[in-house]
Amino acid sequence: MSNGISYKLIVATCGVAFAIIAVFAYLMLDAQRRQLLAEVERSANQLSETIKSSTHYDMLHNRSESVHRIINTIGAQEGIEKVRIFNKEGEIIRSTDPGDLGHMVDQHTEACDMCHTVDKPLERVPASERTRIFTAANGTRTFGIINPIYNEPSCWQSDCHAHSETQKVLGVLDISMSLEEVESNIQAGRVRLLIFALIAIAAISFIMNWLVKQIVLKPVGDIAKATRTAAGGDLTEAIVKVHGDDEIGKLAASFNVMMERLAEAQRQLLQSDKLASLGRLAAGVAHEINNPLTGVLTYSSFLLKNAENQPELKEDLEVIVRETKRCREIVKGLLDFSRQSASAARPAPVNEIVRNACRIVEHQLSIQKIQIDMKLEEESPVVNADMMQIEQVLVNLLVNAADAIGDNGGTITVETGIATAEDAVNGRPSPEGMARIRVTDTGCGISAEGMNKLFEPFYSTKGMKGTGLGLAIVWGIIEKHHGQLKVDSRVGSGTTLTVLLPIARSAGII
Amino acid sequence: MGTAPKILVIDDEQVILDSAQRILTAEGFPVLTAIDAESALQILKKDPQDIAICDLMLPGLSGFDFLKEAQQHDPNLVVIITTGYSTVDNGVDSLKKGAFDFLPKPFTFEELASQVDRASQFAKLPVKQRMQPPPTEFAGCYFLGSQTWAKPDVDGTWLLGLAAMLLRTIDPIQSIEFPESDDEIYQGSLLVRMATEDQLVHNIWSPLSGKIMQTNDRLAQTPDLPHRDPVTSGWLVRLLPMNLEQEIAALTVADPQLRIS
Repeated sequence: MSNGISYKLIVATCGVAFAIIAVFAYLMLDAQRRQLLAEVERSANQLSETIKSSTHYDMLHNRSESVHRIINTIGAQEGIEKVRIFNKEGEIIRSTDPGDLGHMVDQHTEACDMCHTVDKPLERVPASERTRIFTAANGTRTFGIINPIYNEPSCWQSDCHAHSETQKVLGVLDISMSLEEVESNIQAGRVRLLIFALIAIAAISFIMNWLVKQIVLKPVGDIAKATRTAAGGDLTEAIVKVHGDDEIGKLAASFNVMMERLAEAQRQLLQSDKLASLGRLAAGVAHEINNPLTGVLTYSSFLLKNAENQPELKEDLEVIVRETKRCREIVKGLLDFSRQSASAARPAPVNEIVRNACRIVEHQLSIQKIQIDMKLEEESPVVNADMMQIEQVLVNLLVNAADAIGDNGGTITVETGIATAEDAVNGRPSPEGMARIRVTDTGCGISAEGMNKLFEPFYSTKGMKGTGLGLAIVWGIIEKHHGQLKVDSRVGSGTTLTVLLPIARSAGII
Repeated sequence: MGTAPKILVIDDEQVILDSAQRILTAEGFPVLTAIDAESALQILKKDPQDIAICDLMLPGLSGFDFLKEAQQHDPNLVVIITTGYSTVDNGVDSLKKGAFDFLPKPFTFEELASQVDRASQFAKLPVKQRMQPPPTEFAGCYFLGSQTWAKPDVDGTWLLGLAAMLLRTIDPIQSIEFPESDDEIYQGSLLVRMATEDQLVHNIWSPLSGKIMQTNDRLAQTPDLPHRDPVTSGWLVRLLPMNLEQEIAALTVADPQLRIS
């Protein structure tokens, strides 16, 4: 599945999710860091002001011990690294770290750099520029804030006269605070976000996978499976369950329609194939029959010629000759059927064909107590057809209908008309511009198994009574006329066969 | 040749040999039969015949082989080829190869009798006359054997009519049964059925396939017109050919240099 659709989708989605989370995390951590630093800055500032004001009095009275104690007390608080005071010259004069006392601070150390970046020292620096972050000698990240101690009248008017009136800055108070807690807070935030990101990505992967499976893979898999079934040759089984009406649902529905059409086309093709085999068989049989038929026809026609004076014999012989000639026509029909030729198509009114066909079977049907109900279109559609062949088709359909009804009587309805959309045969061209002949019986109907084999040559339900060629020939004739044939049947209630034939272009309606 | 022409029937079906012999003997022809082409050729060597009626589908040598051999052996022999319906094309082919006519199976007594009658009229002609080129009035015609002609006319239609040699072998025409207008007919299938004064009915094969555009109305009044003017006014039908290019190959041209038979 490494190049499957869900894999690709998951990789793409996770990539995007990861990028979004990363940007979000960066912004969030940055904001958190700023906030924490501001907090540190504020408290450091406050602390430095506290030191300044609480040592002010002791300073004025030059009580070094007291100043030192205050500084040490405050400097001992957690998180405070160092509290130092430099004088104007940079000498550390007070410090929580006794080792620092007396050391000179270079103008370019972090603490002094802010004011002394330019050659001339600044005298007033805003609070935000008085802070710095640096790595202390022991390796911890440290936040430093300086607070200049300005000269005030009380300073130079004090008794000790330690400072002259002209000095602006007397010294600098420098407080260093450890950023360890802030850093560990930020670190913890980073870990939390990373865990969140991993969980989110895992969740997204899982949900995506599930969704893709449900929405895409399963229906697509069904279609793929159906396609394989179809490729295996079983078109009727290749039907897909339609999931919903999204694009894939629509694809499945279209696939089903396509398969139905294909199955129908294949059925028709198979039928044509069978007919072609039947044609070859017919040609062989017909050729074999031709010889004995020639014997019968020559003898009988010869005898007929010599029976001029024997009216009774002549009549009988006439029957033999006529029937043999009919056989000859049937054989010729079979051969024509096997060759793509010789149907004498001409404009023929459908109603006339129907009447002729009904006349032929009338007698037989009346014996079976079957009524023919003719519902003919008033203005008969005219089709381009070989009347004899279409008559043969109808006689065939009528005899089949009668056989389906049996001996207990019933009705055969024969209708003619112009075909409408409802006559459409699955997988065939639109019935527009076609005439319709419909034969409906009240017979036994056709079973599902029978439906499948209906047009197969030599399939018969009539036992010794039928050859099983009737409907195959019907099909062949209709195909040759570029017509269509549709069967609707319900077991127990009857069958309707609809024949569609192209209406003659020139004639239309007579 | 005052006596009836001698006929040899060749077919691998005994019933056809029997029936042909029965009928033709009754009609007054001396008839011999052969069950295959080889034995037929043997008979011809010993006892020359006037007419041979030969099936196309034979074991061993086919009807075509027989036709070729027999013509080489005896140019006087008139050959009628019998064919099954599935081999109408072969029938047309046999005419091109020099058969007098072909007879599709199964045939009736009348169909056989009328062809044999025409064949015997033809057999009576000296060979020199049989080989005559068609008269000049047939210029521009294409012939199906010596039976019918087709000639290009206006608007892509062709006129079809009866060939000079056929007219020489039949009695005056009494009536002609035409196909319907708009019918489609096929090369080698029935074009018209003609009744002649001697009570025979002749089936005439079409030289081309196509759609019937017109039939010659004048023949209803004067059916024997073809005997007097076979082309200009005595044509039979006007046809719109369907498969001209292929079918014309089976026809021969009315070039005075070309002999038809």
